[in-house]
Amino acid sequence: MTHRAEPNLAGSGPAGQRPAGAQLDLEGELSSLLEVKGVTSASVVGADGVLVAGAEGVAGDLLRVAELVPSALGSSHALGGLLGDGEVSQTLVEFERAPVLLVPLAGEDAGSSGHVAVLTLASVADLGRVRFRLKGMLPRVAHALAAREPEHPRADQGVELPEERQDPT
Amino acid sequence: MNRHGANGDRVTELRELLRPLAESAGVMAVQVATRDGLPLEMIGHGLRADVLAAEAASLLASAGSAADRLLLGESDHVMVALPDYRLVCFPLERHLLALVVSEADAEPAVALAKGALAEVQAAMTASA
Repeated sequence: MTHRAEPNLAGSGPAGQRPAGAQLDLEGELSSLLEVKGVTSASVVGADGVLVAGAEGVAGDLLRVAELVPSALGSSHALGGLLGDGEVSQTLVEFERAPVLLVPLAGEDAGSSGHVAVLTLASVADLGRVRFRLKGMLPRVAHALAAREPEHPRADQGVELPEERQDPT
Repeated sequence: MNRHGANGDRVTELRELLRPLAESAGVMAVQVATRDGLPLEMIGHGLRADVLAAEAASLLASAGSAADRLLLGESDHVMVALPDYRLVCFPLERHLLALVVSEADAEPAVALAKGALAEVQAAMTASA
């Protein structure tokens, strides 16, 4: 059973603003992504579709976008396995009015963190610029996520066993 | 698959429509499948047609479901980027077209595929 965590939504202050002396701040990093021209929302979602944190600009519904993640990611990984070509680096869903970009976030140990950065864009024309900027910005998002891992463990960890399989002792 | 009569004509026509795309630079495979994941025709090698069709259909179903909730319009296509390849799935009315292409050649191949969609759709409609 999936428990939807109360997400931390950024966006109430100036985009990218960080408290003085604050360490890596996931909401701040996501707000920075909103400063990239064409990005209308940015969020971090667990592989199970649970919204961890998000920053929303002019459009989008972060929770609804998050619901896209588990099934799209599952099929993407299956197709990656079919091609035997390693990890999925991006999945792009191009809708009529806006593209949605899903980018698996790297973990601290160079593997996957089990989380995905989800960005909605204003237009297909923004894709090239956004992809270019993401190369430098997403590692900071991944690092900020790792810094708060005890609060939000890997999406594929900590799954409760069904009652009938729990150890009675 | 019955390759005689009307079905045989359809298979031949479909293959002819897909061939220029399959022979373009970097294209590893091109496939037409039903939206519920059954492969109808594939030109390419080294891939399991049934798995490709099933997962491409699943991916498009996810996008279609999200499109209904997000009010972003219909999904135009879904692209999965891998280190060396891109897999692109285009929805048709009751079918889909899946394209596996090398990363370097993805843009021209996707443009070519978009140009072929109307003809493939027409062929599928005519044979229905």
